Amino acid sequence: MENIGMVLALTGAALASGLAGIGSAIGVGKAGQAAAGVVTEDPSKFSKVLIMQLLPGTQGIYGLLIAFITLNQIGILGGGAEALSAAKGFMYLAACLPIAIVGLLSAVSQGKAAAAGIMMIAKKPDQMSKGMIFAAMVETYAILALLISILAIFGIAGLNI
Amino acid sequence: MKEYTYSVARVRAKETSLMTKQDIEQLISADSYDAALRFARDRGYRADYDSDITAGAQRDLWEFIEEIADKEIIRILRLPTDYHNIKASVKAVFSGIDGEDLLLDGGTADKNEIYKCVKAREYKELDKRLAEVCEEAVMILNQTQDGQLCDIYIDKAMLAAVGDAADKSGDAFMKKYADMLADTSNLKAAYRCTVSGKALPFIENAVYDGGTLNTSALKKAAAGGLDALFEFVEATEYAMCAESMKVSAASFEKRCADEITHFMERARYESFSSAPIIAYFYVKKAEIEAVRLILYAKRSRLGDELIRERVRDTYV
Repeated sequence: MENIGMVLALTGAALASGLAGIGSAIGVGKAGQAAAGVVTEDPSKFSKVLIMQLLPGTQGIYGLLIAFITLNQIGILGGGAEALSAAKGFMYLAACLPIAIVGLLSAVSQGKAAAAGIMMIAKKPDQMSKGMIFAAMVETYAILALLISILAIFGIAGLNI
Repeated sequence: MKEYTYSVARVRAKETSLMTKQDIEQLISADSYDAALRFARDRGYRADYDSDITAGAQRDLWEFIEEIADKEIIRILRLPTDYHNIKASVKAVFSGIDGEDLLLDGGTADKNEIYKCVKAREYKELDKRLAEVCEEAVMILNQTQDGQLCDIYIDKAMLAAVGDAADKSGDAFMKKYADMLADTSNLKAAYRCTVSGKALPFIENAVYDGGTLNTSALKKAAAGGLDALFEFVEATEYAMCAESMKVSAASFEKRCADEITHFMERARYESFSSAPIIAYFYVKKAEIEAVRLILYAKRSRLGDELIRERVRDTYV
């Protein structure tokens, strides 16, 4: 069980990229359904609805970023991995959770907001920027979670436990 | 709850081509039939349709709904057409005329099949429920020779079928629509009975026992005269329709239909449920009927006011 710290930290990285990625996949998928519906009727709106469809994809990128930083900190990326205490490993896991959980839920919600925005573009193309703002509002909470995850991971690195 | 994201997005895109109040007004005030026809064509009623351009629009609407809605929803939307076809078939067979022109496409059962079955008094080919209604309608007409009684029976059977199917679908919007359909039909039936001075036994048969209204009170009110009925309607959620009862029958019927259109407007704020699909079907169908009515009226050179009284509100 001497590697338990490493296992926990790796689990955190996996959750961050996995859950946030799942959320983005669901969100982009939902927005994609709406986008396909609009483009079926009006192909000229492709570029407008594509931008909206991409919005819920950012959470997956945030999750990936956190996973990268964590892997880098624990030495799995770039070599030089050393034994990690159980407490430190658990801390990395905890630090990864904000973006994992908030990433998942916010991407799903953002997908719905983006889908509704895409429907708005179908009826009122000139109101596209407003539709984007509505969907982007959800992004705030993913960014807050990302911030906390990053601060926590860099903070843990300096701890001597 | 099932989500219809793709379908609703298609509906939203299609809604941009619905006629607005101004469009309908412009159609009504067109100088001549040709001008009205030209305007309808400009607004999407394609020129390559057959002589009745609204029939083509109706076909397009069904094609669209088939692509985006669930089988269960489509079935409910198709049901009223079946009952119209039964009504037309029974009457045509009994009056010895060729009724095929009166039949409509778009039911769950093939229109010619219904006609053939009623003509042969052999209903095995039809769905059990439709077969029963055909058989009963033929029997009523056979025994009483009263077309009105037959119509009442078929209308009630249609409301019951739509209500049952809506309940079974578990779709809240569809259930509310079925209730409103039953309520407005009951109000119209009660109003007609009152105006023509029918007695309580007749009214009791004419009103369908379903929907959200207290039907026993409605029946009594209808038997009590126009003032009693007015008072009853005023106390229901259809109070907005009450005033038009005093204007004319056409105005009251239009107001009842408008009430359903206003309910459909709630679907504007839904993005994932079946509501926008049902609402689009309803309003597009109403639009097609309005265009047909206006074109016929223009061809017969009827006055604009007479048309306006009958054309329902639009959704956009």
